[in-house]
Amino acid sequence: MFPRTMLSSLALGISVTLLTCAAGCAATVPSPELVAARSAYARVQVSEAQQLVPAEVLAAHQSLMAAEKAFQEDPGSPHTRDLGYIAQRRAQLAEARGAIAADQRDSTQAEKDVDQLRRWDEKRTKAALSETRAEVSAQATKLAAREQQLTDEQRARRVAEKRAADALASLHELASVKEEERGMVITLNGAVLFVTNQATLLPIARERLQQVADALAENPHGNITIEGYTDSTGAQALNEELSLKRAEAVRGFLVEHGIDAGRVRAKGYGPARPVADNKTPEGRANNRRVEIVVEKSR
Amino acid sequence: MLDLRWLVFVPVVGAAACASAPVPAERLASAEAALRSAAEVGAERTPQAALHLKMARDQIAEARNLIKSGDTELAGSVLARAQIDAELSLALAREDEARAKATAAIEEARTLRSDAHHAP
Repeated sequence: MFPRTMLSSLALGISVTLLTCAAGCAATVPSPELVAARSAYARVQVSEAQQLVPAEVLAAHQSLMAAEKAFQEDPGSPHTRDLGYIAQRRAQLAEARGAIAADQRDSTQAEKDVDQLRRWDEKRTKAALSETRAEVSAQATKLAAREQQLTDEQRARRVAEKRAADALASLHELASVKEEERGMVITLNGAVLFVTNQATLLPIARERLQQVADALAENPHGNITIEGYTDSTGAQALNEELSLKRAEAVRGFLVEHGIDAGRVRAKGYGPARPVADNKTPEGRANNRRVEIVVEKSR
Repeated sequence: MLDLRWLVFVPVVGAAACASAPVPAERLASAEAALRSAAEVGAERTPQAALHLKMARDQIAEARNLIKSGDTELAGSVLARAQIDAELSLALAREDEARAKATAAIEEARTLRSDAHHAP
């Protein structure tokens, strides 16, 4: 507001005047008030008040100049002493107001810093919270996926079990199915499967055996043994050969229709192990059979 | 170019030269008002402020007596001193307050800053 060059030229002016007076006038001891005023002003000049409250400092300077002038003109008068007193107070006032301005500046800065630090802290906390939430969410997602997977697996297993069960149930409609110690035994009547005294599969037999093959495919565990049997009529050797050929015919069909070859074997027992009395026609018919034995896999 | 803004201060110099210009009653009221302001801000609590408060109070009392005895010119001079002492007392009391506030704020910032450095 007031150029520094003007202040220094005023100061220079005062100093010159004082020196001139000192040279020309009688030696005059400055009053205690003036001394105090000069020293108070000197203190203010080097304080922050110069930059922060320059108008106050200028007022103090003006006051000092008035006191100096009065001292030159009328050294001992009460008026001169009043001016000296007031000049000292003005300088002290400028100093105090400068200090207030400095404190306010420091307060404002510190408040800004506090605000900034709080915001940083908040940001950091929010970021940490965000991170934690993201982790929790990721874990929850993983968990959900795993649960879904388990549910799907369970469902798939149940579907497979149902199909296997349905297949077995349908078998019961085609043939006699029994659970024995040696495994599951599917008994097919010889008359249904083969041309009399031959090992050629009848057309209707192929249909039934297809269904058996499907059912066995749904239950893919356990080895399969196909056992051919005859009644006791005729030569044993011939019967054994016929029963073996028939077992092999059934085996061949099953292997052609999806059953793993390594899993199936054929055997011919001939008239051995009859299940019915060979003396009656019904008994003999029942003995003429093929048994498909599915071993328990466990 | 001649900068004449400093002329605004001339009346201050002029008033200091002629001490009797404003009426003592006005000066008295003004000094008392300044005294009250200083007291309200708690000037008595701070040593330096309390000192100038007392000086202002004493000078006002002296001025009253001078006015009563008819010495208005001297009363005027005394009141000029009382006025400035009261203003100084007020400023010193305010400075004390401002410094306390600044110290507290700086301390708070320092604490937060050190917490931030130690945060996990």
